[in-house]
Amino acid sequence: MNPWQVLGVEPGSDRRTIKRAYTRLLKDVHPEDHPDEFMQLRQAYERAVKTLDAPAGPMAFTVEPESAGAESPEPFDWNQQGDASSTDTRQASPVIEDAWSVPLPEADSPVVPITDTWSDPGTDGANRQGADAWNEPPPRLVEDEVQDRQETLNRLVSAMARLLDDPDRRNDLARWEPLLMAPELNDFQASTAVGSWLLPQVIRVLQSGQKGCPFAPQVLIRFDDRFQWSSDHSGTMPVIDDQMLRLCLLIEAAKEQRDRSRERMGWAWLANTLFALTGRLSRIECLVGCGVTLGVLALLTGLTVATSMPGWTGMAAIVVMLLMAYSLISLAIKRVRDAGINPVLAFVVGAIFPGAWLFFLFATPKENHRVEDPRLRYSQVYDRTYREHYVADGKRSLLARLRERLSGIHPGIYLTLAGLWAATAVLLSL
Amino acid sequence: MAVVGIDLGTTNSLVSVWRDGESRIIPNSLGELLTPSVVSVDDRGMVLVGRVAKDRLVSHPEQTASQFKRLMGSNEKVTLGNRTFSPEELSALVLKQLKADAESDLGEPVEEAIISVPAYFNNNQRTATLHAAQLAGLDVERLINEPTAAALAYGIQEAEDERNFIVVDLGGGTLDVSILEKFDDLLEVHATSGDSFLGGEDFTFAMVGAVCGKLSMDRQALSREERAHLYRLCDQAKKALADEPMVEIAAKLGGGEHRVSFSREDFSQCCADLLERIRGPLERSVKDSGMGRGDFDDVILVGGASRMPLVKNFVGRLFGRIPSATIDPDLVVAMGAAVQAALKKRNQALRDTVLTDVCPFSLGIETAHRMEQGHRTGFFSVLIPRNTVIPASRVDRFFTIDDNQTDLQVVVYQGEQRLVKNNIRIGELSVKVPRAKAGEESVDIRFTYDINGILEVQVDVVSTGVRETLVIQNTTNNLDDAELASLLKNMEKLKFHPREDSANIAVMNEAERMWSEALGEERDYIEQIIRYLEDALDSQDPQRAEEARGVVADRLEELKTRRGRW
Repeated sequence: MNPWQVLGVEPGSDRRTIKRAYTRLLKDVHPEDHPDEFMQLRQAYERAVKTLDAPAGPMAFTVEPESAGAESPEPFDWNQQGDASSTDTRQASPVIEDAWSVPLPEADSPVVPITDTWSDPGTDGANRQGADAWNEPPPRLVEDEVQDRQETLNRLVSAMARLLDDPDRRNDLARWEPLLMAPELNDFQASTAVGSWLLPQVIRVLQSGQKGCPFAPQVLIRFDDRFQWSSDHSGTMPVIDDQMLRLCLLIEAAKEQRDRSRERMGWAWLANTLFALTGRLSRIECLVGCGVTLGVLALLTGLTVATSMPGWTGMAAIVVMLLMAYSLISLAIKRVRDAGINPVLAFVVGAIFPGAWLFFLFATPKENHRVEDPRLRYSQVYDRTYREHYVADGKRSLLARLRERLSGIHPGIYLTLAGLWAATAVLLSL
Repeated sequence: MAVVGIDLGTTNSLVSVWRDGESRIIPNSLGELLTPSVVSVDDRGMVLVGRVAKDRLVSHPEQTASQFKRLMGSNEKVTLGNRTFSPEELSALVLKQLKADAESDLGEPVEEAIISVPAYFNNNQRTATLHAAQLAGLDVERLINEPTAAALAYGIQEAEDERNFIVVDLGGGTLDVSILEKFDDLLEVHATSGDSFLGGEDFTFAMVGAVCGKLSMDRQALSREERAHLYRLCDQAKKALADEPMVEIAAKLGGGEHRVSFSREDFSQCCADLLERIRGPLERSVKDSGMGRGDFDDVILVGGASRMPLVKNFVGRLFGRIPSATIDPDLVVAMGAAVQAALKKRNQALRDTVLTDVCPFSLGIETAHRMEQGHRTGFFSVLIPRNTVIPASRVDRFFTIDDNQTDLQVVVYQGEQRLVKNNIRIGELSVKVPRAKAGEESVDIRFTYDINGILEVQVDVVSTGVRETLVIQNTTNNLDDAELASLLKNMEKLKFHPREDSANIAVMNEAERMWSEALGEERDYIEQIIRYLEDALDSQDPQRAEEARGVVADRLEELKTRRGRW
């Protein structure tokens, strides 16, 4: 399909002509009535527009960080420090390219009577550090102030560069916080520019890392929350370069780790583990459930036999035993269903050959109806990053992992278990 | 037969109609444009909707529900008195009320409507909204995104032909950001983003927390009545802060009156985190649209919560320009919905206007990835990226990953995260493939997303030519017929007060609310007023009831002015 033919304009026309032609044609192929024709027209239009401008590269600006030795020891306190060595900074001036040298259009548009509309008169004394949003007017973009802002941004950026290159400090969130939340970055263009400057820098540090990730997980998460790198490149860009992909994976792994440590296992979890009420059941959970069920079952059987309890205690014990037996069966059926085996069939087979239950519980085959995305196939980065994180996590001592897991369980569950144990002890002693 | 536009909001709802070349908001039975989205059930099991119910939030919090738009699309239920309602049913009650108001105003039956929803509502939330419309007896073919509706209202008014603008819609419960371009008669949405759990109510809630902190009280320890009372006070104080630097809140808690003064500084402090959350969607949509800051001709603020100077200034600082709001931010979405209704009917006055919208979420499927040892599953592969102009259709080829695989399970998700577990699952289908080595069998998956938000997934097995299709529509068919019939039956069981009574009930409920908030002598005085009104109402004499209502309303007004603002 030739987009120019569809649109009926000369190849290489300018944006306005293309747009006008598109708008004119749109009236005949209204998206409500002619969706297919509209899609064709839209495709042609998008292609035509694409020829106009090579995609503008990210607003990258290079910074030559001062040599670390010459700098003062408190790099995060960039505002004061910038004042002290201002002449110095200006000479070694980090160069912010095109994005900022172009005068912002608002600067010369005369129709911005900002101070009048901002009702509060006390704007001049506004304190810039505190996020005093009531009193602070939007920045007035007079030429000098643009200049000023550019300088503060340069200082900010070079402070970030120094922090990044310092292996001892780069993982200190407290040092990053004032930089990332600097009031200068309230302006979204500034924050976009700084964000897209920081991204390649972070990747550079990543590449220079000898082994493992040179960033602490929480720092990566903070960067991502602030500049949204991973969600920016996840859905919309099918082809990402390897290093970007690696960064995204690291951020993701960091988030996953954070989520896992926040995970709380409460009553719902216990009920699900015992009775397989909802959701899919992992093999580990199934094992825990079976263990608990069998243990309690054995204990109760022993109790009833040993004491041959009379009256309501005996009844209660029988009810609990029935519940436990039910939970074992439901666990097995759950596993069977997750594995894609017909549960009724499994039940029949299990009734005839009781040994089959063991097979259903622990050796059920994995599901295999997955889809592969060829767009993911060739990147080696996946393997490497996966090893870096998930395998490294596996190397932590068993005890440490167990401790983390156990600390996630709701204290009430421990209490109840202790209570149950005490009750049995009392019953036994009677 | 008229087609109306409805803005079903978290806090307030509106209904509007396109008449004589402009959209007009239809007033409710009390003559007000805004109908609070509040539903209450009174002691006799009668349903109250709107302002008559809003006062009962304080006096009867157990039987009154508000902000249920936030629960739309979830399985949560709300219990009012001894009945449970789903959020769809509650919304349906509000829609029913709006429909009745429109019918009595227009003098003709209203069966079709365009309802506006937050642009960032996901598939489930949109489906829930359509179910609500169906329960209310409205035929809704199209949902319009709120910022798009606002832009329509502005765009129709705008004389200039080429303009780019960004619409920031901060409503009671949701934030939406849309970037639009008007070019000749084309209104094109370039990008949409948002947060469906951030709105004015969150600011009020943060303020309640701060006030409790100042009074050194525990919010959890307060009774429901007290919480509702404090919430109402804070809501009003929040509005008052727009004009004054400092307000005083006199809360009647725990049998005594507590006074606390609250300044703008306090407010901006307790809302700092919320403000910060506005930034993300704004930056993302601007990035997606590929425009620079200088490309915008206008920043338009929409939604009641955007009246807060705090929000205005924050958005202003982000863009370095003053946001504008020339149309009342509470009404503009409803007005735009009426424009869309007229557009859909191809109204003569709007003959040439064309609107193109985008899909706010990326759509894709779950895929696996082959690694040196084993596979890892759970990746999200995008077919239609977010902010694609709809209708759109995309196709891509996918492969089997295991040897002797007999079927492929295509699970459809929407969202922006790289792992499907963080996105929202909207459907699945499975196709049989012949047994073969891994990677030898492949399928072509085509996603077609149409203008009504219906996604069609079509899977073709390349080797056998077998075709499977799945239609995920957020139109009403998802609710199966039996379920719908039973819900409709339940709705029919509900009894409503006749429309004529609503003015009386409104005054009565307001008096009761003030009674529950008052102390000492004032309380006795209000009780007398209530008894007087009750006597008049019981007499069944409409003349007398109306007189009494006038008197009581005056007295209450007097009392309010004497007590200060509230």
